[in-house]
Formats: sequence, C-alpha cells, structure tokens
Amino acid sequence: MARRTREERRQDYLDAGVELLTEQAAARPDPGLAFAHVRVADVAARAGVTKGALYHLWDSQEAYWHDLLEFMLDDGRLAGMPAVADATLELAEATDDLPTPVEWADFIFDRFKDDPTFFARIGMLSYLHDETVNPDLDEEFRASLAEFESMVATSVRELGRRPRPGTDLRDFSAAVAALMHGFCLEHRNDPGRTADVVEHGRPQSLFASCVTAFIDAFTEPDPDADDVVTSPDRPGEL
Amino acid sequence: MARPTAAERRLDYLRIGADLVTGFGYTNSPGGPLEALANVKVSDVARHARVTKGALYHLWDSQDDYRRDLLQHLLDDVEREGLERAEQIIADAVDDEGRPFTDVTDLAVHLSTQSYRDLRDDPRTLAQFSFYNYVHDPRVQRLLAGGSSGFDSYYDLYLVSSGRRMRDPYTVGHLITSVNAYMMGSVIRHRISRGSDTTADDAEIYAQGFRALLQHFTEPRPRD
Repeated sequence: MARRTREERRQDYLDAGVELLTEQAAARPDPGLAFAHVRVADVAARAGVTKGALYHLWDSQEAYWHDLLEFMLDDGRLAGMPAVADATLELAEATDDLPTPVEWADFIFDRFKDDPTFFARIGMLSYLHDETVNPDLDEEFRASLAEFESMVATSVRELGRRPRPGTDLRDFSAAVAALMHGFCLEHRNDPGRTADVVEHGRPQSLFASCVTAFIDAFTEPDPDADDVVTSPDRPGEL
Repeated sequence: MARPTAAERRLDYLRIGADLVTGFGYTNSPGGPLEALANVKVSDVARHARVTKGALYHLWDSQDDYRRDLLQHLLDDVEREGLERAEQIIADAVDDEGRPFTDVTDLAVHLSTQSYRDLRDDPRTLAQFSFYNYVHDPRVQRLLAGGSSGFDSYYDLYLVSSGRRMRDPYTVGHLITSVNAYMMGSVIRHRISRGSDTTADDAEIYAQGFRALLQHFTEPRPRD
C-alpha cells in the first residue's frame, strides 16, 4: 500500500479527534468542554502513531484544536441550528399534518437534550474570543437561523397567525433558538428541572410550554387568515 | 508590612485565576487563550503571583481543588455583584418617559433585561461555560446547578407585589428554570452573533420573551 499523503494523514488525525470528542462528550455527565480533553497525545494513541507524527503537521496543541474545529464546522458534524432545521424537516415529512408547536418542541427537545455533539458545540463557546473561530460560527448560525425562520413562517401561517406589530419572525426564531440552547444546558445540569408538565391533560416538555408562551407574545391572530387551525392557549392577560 | 494571612493569599490566587480564565491574562499566558480558558493551571497562577507552585499547593491539595474553588469564587462574585446591581436597578428604575414604574410586571421586565445586558458582556459568564468541563465532579455539578439562586426570592416578591400567582400546573421552579434557560441561551446567541442576526436589539427580544414567560406561567390572583 502506498504511503498515505500528508493530506490523507491530516484527515485521519482529524477523524480520530472527532471520534475522541464524541466519545468524551457521551461519557461525561456534562461534557461542555470535551474539546479540551482531545489532547494531541490521545489522538496519536487512537491513530496508532507517535505524538511526533501529529506535531509534524501541527505546531501545537492549539493549532490542532483550531483545525479540528474548522474541520467539524465544514463537515457539518456538530449539531447546532442546522441540525435543528434538519430535524424539523424530518418531523414534517414523517407526519401528514404539520406538527403543532407543542409536538415540534417536544420532538426537538427530546432529540437534542442528550445529544453529545450538541454539547460539544456549546463547549466551543469558550473559543469565541478567538478571531479565527468566531466568524465561522457566526456565519453558520446566521444561515441556519434564516432557514429555520422560513419553517417558522409556514407554521405561523398555518396557525392563522402573523407577527405582532413591531416584531418579526426573525426575532421570534432567534428567541426560540436561544430558549432551546438554554433548555438543553439546564437539562444537562439537572434533568429534574426540565421534567415534563401536564398541560390540558397531556404531558409535554417545559420547553414546549415556553414555545407556546413565545408564540403568544410574538404573534397574533391574523384576521385575514382563511382557516384558523388552532390557537395557542391564552392564559390571563397581564 | 505584615505578611498576608492564608485567607488573603487564597483570595489573591483566586483573583489571579479569575483574571486568567476571563481573558485579562492572555497576553502573558504562554499557551495562549485556548489553554488559559480550557485548563487554568496552578503553575500559571503561581507565575503570575510571582510565587512557587508550592505556595499554592500549600493551600490546595490538587489542581482540581483549585479549579473548583475558582469556580465557586467566580459564581459568588457574579451573584454578589448581580444582587447589588439589582438593588441599584430597582432604585433607579424609570420608564421611557423618565417616570417611576407603576406596573410591577414592567419593573420586573426592566430588571431582568438590565441583568441580561450586564451578563451578556461579562467575560465571567463565558468562563462559566468552560467549567462545564468538570461537571463529572459532583461538587462542581452542585456549584453549577446552584447557579444564581440568590435571585430566586425575587420571583416570590414579584408574585406578592403584582397580585399574581402561579398558574396550574406551573410552579415557581418552572418559571425560574425557564427564565434561566432563556437568559443563558440568549447569552450564547449573543456571544456568537453579537445580536447582528436580528433587526431588533437582542436585549429587546430578551425582554419580550421574558415578559411572555411571566405572562404564561402566572395568572391574576382572584379577589376574595
């Protein structure tokens, strides 16, 4: 077998890093910064080479982390907003009717609350001081938020609602995205806190309750809608 | 000059560690910012304090012990300042027309939004994320899960003074979890995009969401 090229080796060592990162994230009760545990020495051991083989390609531990981070972003390996958008599509295709907001929220929370790659991504926030990393994350987040917004627009229309004056669906989508990230962290810290609640006689996630609250706050019934399918419950006005 | 006491030295070493993990000490850190954030080291702290590692190991048994104390120090600091700020925000609170708030819910939204503005730009908030590394240690998990519980009493205060109560089946705990999640998630979003991905200021969006949660989880208390 021909000796692997420099680029192939680079790819091998980055693959090994992704493997280690995912394992670390799964093994720890809270992997937050599993990234920091992916040491050059461990990657070398996993790839069956010496540390020197890696230091031949990267000057330092930090240089390896940089590359690993970019590799994962390019490769779409990290669950983030793009994965949320994909999962939303998947849910829509699996059901005949458009999922209700509560069904959507329960599905999404259940999917990501224990997803190690989702948390590996949160752990990367510690690297945001880094000028080379932030633009990548920013661009990815922005693009997927736009995609998410178009799905939200369909749902809101289907509910016979429209954005309240002074707000728009981008704001609403950003608020729901923030809520979802925070809920996954809360769940990681203490699953007891995010236990289901019984609303209208049916168990639902606390995240779904919050999504309902947000629909109410960011949108209003659209008088021009032909067919109002459902409306979120409306507890006492303030 | 009298020699600093063990307690004074302990505090000094924790403050230096806090500076390191919050980014103020980067330039002097040979491993660069990544290393400083990911793994603040006793040896780095010692070097910045111009003492030997032994001086720190005299006070802490291990590097992990030091890190745990550092986390406690950061959380306490943020909470103490947050509570002091809250008193100040409430004392100074005026609406858009410069008048004191007459509506308790408006005041609550104002307070929470100001707190969000403080937190989103505080490097210690970010440093906290890097400590999620050590949550396999149950003592660290307790520290993180405890969060800023100093604020919890504000929710009861809100309910009493607004004449509202929790709406069945929700408890104050549900509201606290939801607000904490939303605040943390909003900070994360802000760290990534600096709020430039939406037309509205992200503090305005935070305020709208916070009000929505209050509205959804509580209801007016019936009059007797």
